[in-house]
Amino acid sequence: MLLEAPRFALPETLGEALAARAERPEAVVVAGGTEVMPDLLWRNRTAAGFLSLRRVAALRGTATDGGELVIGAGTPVAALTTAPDGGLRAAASSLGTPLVRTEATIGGNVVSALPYRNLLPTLLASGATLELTSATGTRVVPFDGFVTAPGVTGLREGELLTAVRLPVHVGFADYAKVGRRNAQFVATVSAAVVSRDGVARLAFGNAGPTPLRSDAVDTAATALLDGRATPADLRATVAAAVDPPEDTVASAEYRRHALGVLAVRLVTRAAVDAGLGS
Amino acid sequence: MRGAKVATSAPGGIGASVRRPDGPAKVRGEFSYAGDLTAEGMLIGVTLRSPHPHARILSVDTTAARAMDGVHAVLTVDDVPGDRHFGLVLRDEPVLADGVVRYAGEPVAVVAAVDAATARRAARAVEVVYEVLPALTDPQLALTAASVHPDGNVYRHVSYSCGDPDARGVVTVENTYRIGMQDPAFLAPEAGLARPTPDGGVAIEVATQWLHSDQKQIGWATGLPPEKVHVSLAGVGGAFGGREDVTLQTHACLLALATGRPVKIEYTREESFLAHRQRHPGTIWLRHSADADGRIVSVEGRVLLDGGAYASTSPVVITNTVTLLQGPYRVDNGRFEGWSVRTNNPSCGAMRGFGVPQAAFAHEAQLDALAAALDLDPVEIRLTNALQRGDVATFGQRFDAPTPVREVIEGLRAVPLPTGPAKAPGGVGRSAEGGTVRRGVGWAVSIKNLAFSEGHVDESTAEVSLRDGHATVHTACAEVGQGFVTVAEQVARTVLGATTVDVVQPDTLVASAGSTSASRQTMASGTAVHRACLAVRDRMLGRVARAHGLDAATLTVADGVVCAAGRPLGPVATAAPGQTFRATEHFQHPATHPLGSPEGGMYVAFGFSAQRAVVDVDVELGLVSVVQIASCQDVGTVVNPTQLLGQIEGGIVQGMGLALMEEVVVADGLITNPDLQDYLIPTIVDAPEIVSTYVTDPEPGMPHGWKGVGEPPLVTAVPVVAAAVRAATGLPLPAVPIKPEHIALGIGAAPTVTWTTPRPADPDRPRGPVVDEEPHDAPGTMAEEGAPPGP
Ligand SMILES: Cc1cc2nc3c(=O)[nH]c(=O)nc-3n(C[C@H](O)[C@H](O)[C@H](O)COP(=O)(O)OP(=O)(O)OC[C@H]3O[C@@H](n4cnc5c(N)ncnc54)[C@H](O)[C@@H]3O)c2cc1C
Repeated sequence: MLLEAPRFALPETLGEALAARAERPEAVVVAGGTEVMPDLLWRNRTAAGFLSLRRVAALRGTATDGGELVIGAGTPVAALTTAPDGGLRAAASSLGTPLVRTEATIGGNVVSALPYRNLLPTLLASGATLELTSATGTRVVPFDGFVTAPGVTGLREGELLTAVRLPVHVGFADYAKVGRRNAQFVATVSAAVVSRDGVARLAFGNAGPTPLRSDAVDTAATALLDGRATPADLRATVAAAVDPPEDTVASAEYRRHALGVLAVRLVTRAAVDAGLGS
Repeated sequence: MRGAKVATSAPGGIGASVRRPDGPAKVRGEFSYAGDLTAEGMLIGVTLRSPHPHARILSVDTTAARAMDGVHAVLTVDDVPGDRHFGLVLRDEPVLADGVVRYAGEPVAVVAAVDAATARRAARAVEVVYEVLPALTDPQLALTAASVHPDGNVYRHVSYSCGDPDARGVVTVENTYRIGMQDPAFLAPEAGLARPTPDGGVAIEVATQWLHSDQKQIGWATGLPPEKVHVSLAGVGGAFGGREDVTLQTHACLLALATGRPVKIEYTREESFLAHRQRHPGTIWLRHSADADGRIVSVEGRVLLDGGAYASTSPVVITNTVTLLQGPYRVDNGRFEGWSVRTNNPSCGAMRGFGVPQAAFAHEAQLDALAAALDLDPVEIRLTNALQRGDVATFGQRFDAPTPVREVIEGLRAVPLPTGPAKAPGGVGRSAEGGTVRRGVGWAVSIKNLAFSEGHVDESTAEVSLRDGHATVHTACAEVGQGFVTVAEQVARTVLGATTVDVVQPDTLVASAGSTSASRQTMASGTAVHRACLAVRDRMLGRVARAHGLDAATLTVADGVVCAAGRPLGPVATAAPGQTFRATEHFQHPATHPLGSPEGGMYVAFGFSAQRAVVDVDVELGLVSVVQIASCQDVGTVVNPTQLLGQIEGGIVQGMGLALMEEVVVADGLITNPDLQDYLIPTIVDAPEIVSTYVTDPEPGMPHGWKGVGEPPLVTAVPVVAAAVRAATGLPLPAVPIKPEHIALGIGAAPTVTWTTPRPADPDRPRGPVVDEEPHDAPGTMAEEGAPPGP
């Protein structure tokens, strides 16, 4: 029924995909389809046609390029559960179910741009960049700032997300997520940490309308990491920095509280990893 | 499994873990569920539903919809040829909205078209003009607000006392408890396929719990006599009470009759949430008084259940909740009152436990609060108060069957605590690492009435035939996953010595089996099958006796062999070659009576269950991992150990779901989470280790001593998980589901503890029960002539 949509493009190369993107700006890009299909079923979205990336082999796979880990946008989340980056690994491992992880892609997660999606805080914490490609060329933009509102990104007409680049680092990276059951849940809130050379960087999911980080939080986190501040200091800084939603799943008060708790726990893990903590 | 006395019998007979005949197909994904039904020339039916919880319908214009290509029928209430109203207990619900809609999701029109897309487009093309009315969504206000239905806002008010409710020991504890709205959340949404029959009638295959109730209600709306409405069971993917009420049955039949074509309706997940009945959310206030030893002196309780827009079984559920507030404990003095009320929220009705999980959550929290106030052990206080055979309930019924409350508690005590490593709270989110996790252990005991109550006829009929060792069993008992298919087969093997058994797909060609609910089908339909098998066996033995010139009285069947005076004569399969023996037998439990009736008891039987939960709680984040639930349940004779364990495990996980996460969240009359992404049920990662032990006292009056087992595990699991989380956190947690923020932010009031001067019960007060209001005056008490019973 859904596939009876008028136009359905199934390119096999990136060139064909970009050409199709340019020709059919109204077509919905589908990678794993694990966002798009439920949206269609629940009528949150209509489609005047589809552009499927499933057969574009060039979009799948991970490589290292200089100091960066380059992850093709079509790489399935399942492949990231063994990624060298601890944060990405944790975020990928707790996304959906094994079935969903097999289909879901990193590109779909990023472009969905919803504040509670798993991979976004890890990308923000690690300072990831995105390769955005159109028929006329590729630009590389920081992930920080790419999501401008829930579900809205800086992707331009004719562009596809082709790769996500993460600095390969020797430090510590981790991710944790809180929900209402112990598997297959949407994050009530989430947080990611990267610590390198004694500096901690935190990012949060569902702490505001877009993935969120702040210099004040990172300063407090770094201070906690090297013992110059207390957990209470970090919690207070986080509470002031975040602006979480209030809904039937949880109150804003709980979210603010839980974000502070996660921040402290992640920084504590980083400290333990670095041999600094207890 | 420990402590189960399993009867030894013929291979595949009673006591054996006989496998489900549909098991392999289900595991392989080949089982045909109702949603897989299809027919030549079939049309698809779609329902147009009200977006408003309360509105007047100013006009419905179907012209545009009818004119669309591929549309065969568009029906509104004006097209209902028979009675416009239906309902399980009261006939207060319109088949299609009749001038007013009273809940969001109420069917307004139905469409049949060549395919689903056309039908949906046509439904959208029906023009309905609503005048939105204020929605009554607060059940407390419903008691005094203007009626939102001609039948009023109170489905039933129950009020009674026993002994001296003002008697006091040394302490009282009181609190108000809140239970959220649980959805049955069965995995296969409602589906059915109706076809017109050549005699001018209609036939429907449908996933249901109660074929004859559907038949009757379809008959009301279509104006057809029962013999022209044929209902047969399609493959059911879960039920839990949610298929007891009519949803699409009548609509599909009306469309098939209107179009002369087969019509299939299959709900979406969202529609499923909107259309079926949920568990009643409610508020329960309880005050217990006890003496210094923890012995209960008096109990006072008040219940308010939100029944939503239409009655369904609300008039019956409320008595279950109110009368079982005493729990499995002896209570001589008490005062109990409750209301189930109408609002513009979703309609609530039967769900596994039927009003009792609500009561159990409250009374068990109270027992723990009493124990804490008196510095007693939670297990000891339960043993001190445990009901015993011969005790009299607050509602006047004597417990004259085995009442093994102490035994289930003691049986549970014998189960060792878990030792192995546990799954961390927060699970795959890995949030607990670096935090503090505290372990808690909680106990709970429950009483659940089994079978229909208060005069609702509880009966079933079975037709059994036997030929050359092959038996055929035909009943109208809906198999919804509970395992009646194997029970019927096991009885035929044990009683009849059958080598192979065919359990015919249930339909209305045989008399009613009642609903598959109230833990009742082994007791009712199992007993009907047992009786029919005995009759068939006697006919066969009579034939064998004549053929061999023997006295039939000396003949028996054992392990599939006919014996004369105990000596084997030959296999049943070859005892009477080519001969068919047939019998139809009926079973009905002894009559029950309304609350307060001098004639006798309200309930057929009771089941008791004790559980102990071990939980790990990340207190700072409010996340819970249920490590283990151990259960000891009063199960009568074990008929099928594997199926029994399935009921225990499934019930526990479903009860744990209500305790920790399952809630239909209704805001201003609208369900905010009608899907399985936002309505969470436990996953296998959440499910605890379950240790199941049994007390197997045979139930008197039941063949083989069997009794119902399906509901008690759920009933007990709700309070036991809450008790364990309280033990881990020290928080009062008076509401379920317990949300992470209730723990992390400490939300919820503690019980009030008051030290009192002892005041013995006034001996002149009648032992009771004294009913403050004649039950038959209350709306909803079997007021409807011929209305079918609730479970
Ligand atoms: C049962 C279930 C559980 C889930 N659980 C989680 C969870 O725990 N955590 C979580 O974060 N998510 C979860 N999801 C959501 C979803 O699986 C993830 O967001 C996933 O990563 C989306 O990837 P996809 O390839 O399937 O996206 P798609 O559905 O194919 O696409 C999503 C969006 O991205 C766009 N898009 C995709 N690829 C590109 C590209 N290369 N260039 C430009 N635009 C593109 C699409 O147009 C669409 O707007 C769950 C989904 C389901 C069905």
